[in-house]
Amino acid sequence: MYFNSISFLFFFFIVFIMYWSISRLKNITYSNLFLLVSSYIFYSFWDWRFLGLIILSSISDYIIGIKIFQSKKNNHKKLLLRLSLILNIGLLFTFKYFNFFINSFIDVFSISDGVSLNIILPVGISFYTFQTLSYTIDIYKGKLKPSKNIISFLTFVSFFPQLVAGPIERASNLLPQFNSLRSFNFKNTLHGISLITYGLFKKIVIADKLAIYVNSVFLNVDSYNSFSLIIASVFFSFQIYCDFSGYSLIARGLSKLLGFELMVNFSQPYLATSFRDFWRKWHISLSTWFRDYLFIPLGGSNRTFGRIIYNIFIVFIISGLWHGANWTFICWGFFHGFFLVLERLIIKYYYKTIEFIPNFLKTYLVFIIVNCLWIFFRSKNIDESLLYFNKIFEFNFSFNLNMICAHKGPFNLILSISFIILLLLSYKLPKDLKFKKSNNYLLFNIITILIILFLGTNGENEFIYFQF
Amino acid sequence: MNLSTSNFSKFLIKLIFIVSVISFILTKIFEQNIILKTQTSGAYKINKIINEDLENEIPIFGTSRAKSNYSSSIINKNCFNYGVDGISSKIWIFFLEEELKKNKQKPIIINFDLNGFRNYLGSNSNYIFNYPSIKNLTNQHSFNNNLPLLKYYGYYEYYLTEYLKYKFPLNKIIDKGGVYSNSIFSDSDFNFNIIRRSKLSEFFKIDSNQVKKLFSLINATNRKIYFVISPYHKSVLNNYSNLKDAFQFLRLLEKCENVKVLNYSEVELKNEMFFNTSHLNYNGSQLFSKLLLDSLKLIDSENFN
Repeated sequence: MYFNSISFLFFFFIVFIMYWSISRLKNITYSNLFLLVSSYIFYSFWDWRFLGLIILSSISDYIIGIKIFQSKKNNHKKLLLRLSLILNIGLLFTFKYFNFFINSFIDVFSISDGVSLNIILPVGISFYTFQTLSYTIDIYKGKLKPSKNIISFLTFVSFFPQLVAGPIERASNLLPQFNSLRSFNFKNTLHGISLITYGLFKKIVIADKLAIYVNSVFLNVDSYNSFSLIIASVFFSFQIYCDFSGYSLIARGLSKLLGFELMVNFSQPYLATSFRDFWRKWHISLSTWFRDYLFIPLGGSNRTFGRIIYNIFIVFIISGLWHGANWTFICWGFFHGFFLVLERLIIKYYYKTIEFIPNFLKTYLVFIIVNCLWIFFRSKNIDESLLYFNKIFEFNFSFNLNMICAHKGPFNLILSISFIILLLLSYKLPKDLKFKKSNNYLLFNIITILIILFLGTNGENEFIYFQF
Repeated sequence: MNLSTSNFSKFLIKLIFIVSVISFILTKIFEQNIILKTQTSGAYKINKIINEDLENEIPIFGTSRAKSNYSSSIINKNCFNYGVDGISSKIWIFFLEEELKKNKQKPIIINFDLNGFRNYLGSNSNYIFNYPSIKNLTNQHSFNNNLPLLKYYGYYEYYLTEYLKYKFPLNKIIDKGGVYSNSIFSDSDFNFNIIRRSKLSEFFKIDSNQVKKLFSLINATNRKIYFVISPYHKSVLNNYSNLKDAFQFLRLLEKCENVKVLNYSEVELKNEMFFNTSHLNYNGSQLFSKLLLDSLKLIDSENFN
């Protein structure tokens, strides 16, 4: 059940009405219990068999959290934390990485017979695992007290608006919201609806439209010239941004309608003037997670320059691996790490020179590099990404209308470019779509809904980040 | 109901009302000015066959092969090409059924494909879901099909593209419902097409329900019906595993008094007459239509002269 489907619209409508009816009873447990059941029903639509996995992960972390808090001895606390790490990372490893590591091992050592399991990746496992991990780590560090209410905790882990693709919420932000009474707020609701419609616009109108061109080119990289390949890579940059940020906006909007506040996950990342800036604006919930739970524990920036470089590479390679069990993601992460390190070196030694470079040029340069790195992300394997780069650097810009349009017609290309322009124009809207008057919300939603209905791409296409 | 929920209800009602009104107006404008003005689109042809009753019109029914192979202007000034892309016999039988509801005496031309009777409907954009008969035909009973804007959701671009292609045909020639490509492929491109096509196994298929319906329609009318097998590239015919069955069926069809079968499948045309191995280009359609007209003049001089 995708957020961009009619079935979800009906599901959410029923949940919304019933939830606020139950909330009138002013009993947090009833409200949370209802959200928990709704979340489990939502997840069952994907694959009910993996419901047990979420329940197992949630209950074990709930118990471990309490035990860590109650424990007086540091060794005991450490042992419990390790248990939580082994359990969570073990689940993630088994379901997401087992086959990848086994196959890579077979390739490296040229073993003919390997053990390969037919494992289905449970939807959202990377997201909820990181969420529960942060909970136990925060309790271990003394930053957070464990939840006393198991229903609140289970709902925090499985809260359906952000269950399958984040944002990866911190327990310190979201969990207290499950422990307090929610009341219906008109302005928040209007804001929530606007976030949902804007998210749908990004997904259905822009991302799904760009996907037509991108899929056509990536399906047959060999037969396109540099012109089409460059267009496809730029389109993919915008596709993945609109797809994922669209999902995050819908998740935030749905949560707002239920009285919850989720963190902002994207902040116009392609306007970043540096790589550091880019990672402050892109998938913020994941990048801050890695910063707080990996980069800083490794020593962060308060070490020797060599150690900082090491830390950056570790974080970005693991970040790449988090996205998927494929060398393409590892390469993507590695090169992001590489350019961050390069940027630090340039800032360290040539600060005065780059100070004079206008911001728009910096933005342009960062975009070009980020755009190139997305080629790794989108390719099926390393060979395909190398072929893609090779074909681009052939510099074959011969004019062939059919090829430039990726065999999808000039109108599709014109619309795709127009939608990117429309996206950039939408940046002129108030920050985070917070309008001052309710009539502005009304006007914004009318226009956005009409654009979606009129220009939306047919079909309920999956969100890209669901596969992670 | 507190102030917040009451305000929200008002907001929601306003939003739904305004979106519905604008949607309704936009849908009507789009339907009347784009969809129903594109003579070459399936939706236009469906609408025309259901609503228009032109006494002298000679319809040509069939799939994309009908659309690209028959030049209406050459065959008869009253001909209209009802060929639709991506459809199968199920749809042209529907066209025939609708045509026979009209009180007319003019003959009917049906382009018969050698793959026989199939059930595919092609894209939803071929249809206009304003009629119960179309909803039944396509089995599209979804509630969305009754809502303004939602009923064409995802197909606006297609309709608009078709409209623009119709209004500004760049490398195509448009003629009374027919669309003909005027590009000629190089030998290497055409050979590539032959190789690609040769990997497909083709066969004639019978669907007993469709055959039964076709015979009942033919037997219930005294209008002349010409089943025409327009030319295929010889490489396609070689791929068919049971051509004999197809010709046996056509012989059976010809036993009906008002049916005449005209077989041009084996007429050998040069490669430059084809758009691809099963569709003619503009020159090919002109040539074939002249050949067809010569035959029709001999058989039915009253209607074709």
